[in-house]
Amino acid sequence: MATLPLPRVPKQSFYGDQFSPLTGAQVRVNASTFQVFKVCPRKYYYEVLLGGGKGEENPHLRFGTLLHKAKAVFETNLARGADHDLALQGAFRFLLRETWDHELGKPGFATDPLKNRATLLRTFVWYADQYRGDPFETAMLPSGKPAVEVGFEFDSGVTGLAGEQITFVGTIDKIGRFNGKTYVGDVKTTSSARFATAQNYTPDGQFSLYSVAAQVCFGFEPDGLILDGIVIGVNATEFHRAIVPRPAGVLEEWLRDQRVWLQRLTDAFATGEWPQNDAACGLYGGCRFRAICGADPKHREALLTQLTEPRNDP
Amino acid sequence: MANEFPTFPGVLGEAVPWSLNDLAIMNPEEMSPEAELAYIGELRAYRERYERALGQGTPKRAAGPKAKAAPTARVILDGPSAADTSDVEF
Repeated sequence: MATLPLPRVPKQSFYGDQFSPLTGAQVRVNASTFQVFKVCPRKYYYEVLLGGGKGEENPHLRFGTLLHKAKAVFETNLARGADHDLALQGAFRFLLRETWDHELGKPGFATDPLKNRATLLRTFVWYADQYRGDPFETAMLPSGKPAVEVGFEFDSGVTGLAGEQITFVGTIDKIGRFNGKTYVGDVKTTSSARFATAQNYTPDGQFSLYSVAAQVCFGFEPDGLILDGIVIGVNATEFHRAIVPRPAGVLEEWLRDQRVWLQRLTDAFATGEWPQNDAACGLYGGCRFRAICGADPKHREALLTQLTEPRNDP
Repeated sequence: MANEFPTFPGVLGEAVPWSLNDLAIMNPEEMSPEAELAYIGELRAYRERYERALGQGTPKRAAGPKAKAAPTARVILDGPSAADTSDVEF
């Protein structure tokens, strides 16, 4: 099989700091890029390495990112002694500014009919009110800050092409206590309630990674995760909370498996082979690279360029 | 008022109150704290109308795990939080 050229520096700066400057291989691995590789190495090549994938302009990604940031502002304000409404106002102001097009002097983040400024502001106010006086209490970190949007990085036990440690990285939404037990909290926004269930995240690489990180980086064994599913509609936002279990044996098995997958990822960088997983082309509503993979290889570069060029907002 | 961006479509056929979308297109740099609170209040009222229109009455709590008892004190892993509102983020 012909190998594919490896960009020395991935085009997608969104993931840029996760790659070794020595080898170009990914050495800091987060859940989302790792999942792409597991689904299809060729998709990983197109999306992560060539930058044909998610970027900050992606409305779904931006919506989730801003919601998480606002939640961090809200929780921090609460931890500093603000009451609910004052903490909410601070976070609301943050969102107002972040979604304003300061250059053009008009509302920004406006192109997507479902994930946009208006639905984001509505969702955040309703979310904060929904869980007012939340029994899932936010833990405090040694720094005195609330355990929300907590970054982590830990050694995977696998070494990279230059002998460097390959680490797992990520950001945990929240660590807290509920009914006397410790949980990792995670907020997921979706357009359908069927995705906001514990079953949908059992198994799930990101949830398992966060559970392991809670032990390795923060020194406690979570009793599972609390999923806050947020279903975004045009007219309204709905909320679904569920406990997602992660028994210790499941996590041990998961970690062993990930080392195998990490070795495969490293091997792919060493060989330059990114095979298509043609069993996955129809998953998740159909892969966005399907037309490229189905085209004659000599036409793919032009097709990929069309896909990866920045789109101008109308 | 021209809506150049997605705002609120109204509650099940009900007209959108002018103030909601009017607030939605205000420059946040020119928005007073009172206007921010009014905007939040409009979003809360919008929710009440929406859920009433669906026959749900007042906003309900999400389905899901229930707390066994009233919330206890905030969990402290190590060290107290600063109970000081002077550094509340805005």
